[in-house]
Amino acid sequence: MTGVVHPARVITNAALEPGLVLVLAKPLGTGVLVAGHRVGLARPVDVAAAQATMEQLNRGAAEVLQALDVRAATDITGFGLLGHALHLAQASDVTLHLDTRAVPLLDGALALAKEGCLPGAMFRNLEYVDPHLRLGARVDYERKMLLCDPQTSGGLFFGVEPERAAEAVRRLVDAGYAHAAVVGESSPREGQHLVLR
Amino acid sequence: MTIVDARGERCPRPLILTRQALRGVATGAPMRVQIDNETSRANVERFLVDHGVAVTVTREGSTITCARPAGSSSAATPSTTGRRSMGWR
Repeated sequence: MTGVVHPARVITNAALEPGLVLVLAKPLGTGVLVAGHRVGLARPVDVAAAQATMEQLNRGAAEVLQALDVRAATDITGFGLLGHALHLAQASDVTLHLDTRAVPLLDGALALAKEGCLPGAMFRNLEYVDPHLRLGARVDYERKMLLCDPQTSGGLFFGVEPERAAEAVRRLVDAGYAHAAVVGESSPREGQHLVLR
Repeated sequence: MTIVDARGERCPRPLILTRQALRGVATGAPMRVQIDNETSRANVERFLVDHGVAVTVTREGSTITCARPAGSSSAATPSTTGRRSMGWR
């Protein structure tokens, strides 16, 4: 079945303007938690939280985006945040600046990553984005890797006008996306498509 | 010589064992990680390189060995810039 949408309401990955604030609706780390569960390292309470976030639909978040007139977004799945952010940046010809410490993570994900619990797909994702990535001097190795963590049913990632960013986060939290957070901003294209700090 | 035998183990176990071994090995001391599949080899090799370990890879039968020769590395912090940096912990 096909659908019909008003052109002014289309949200694409090619419409991200410079000067927007970037928001991520769900925490990262499902790949690490699932891998940690497989090898018996993850805490059951953390695995349950990962399961819950994977079961949470993006429908409510999409409604928030429509209400805020967001024009550019993507969802985070197998390529990880950096892979999907790269697609957004390339399609929109901008540079995305991400604050690695502001990116929401599932409880337990960082500790597992520090134990070397890094799914193989993370390395493939890193290889994929590496040529387009510029790293600040103080970026933690594990946080960089978690930004490459392949997500199952990950959250929406989008750009919003700076004056509406706080409202976007508040509406997402109200809609049940408790970890929603501002994670960076877009700029005109400057060298690499992705810059981490 | 620290030897990690991760043959028969699947992702991410070889990396977890490698991570544990790195903590216990003195800076500059030789170590060896043995695995038996190319996916693990690629991930372990990248992980070691990212942590500033100069890696040589050898193959013998079904065993792939990622080795760090004696006295080949330095520094005490992990790399955030991948292949371009030289630190490890």
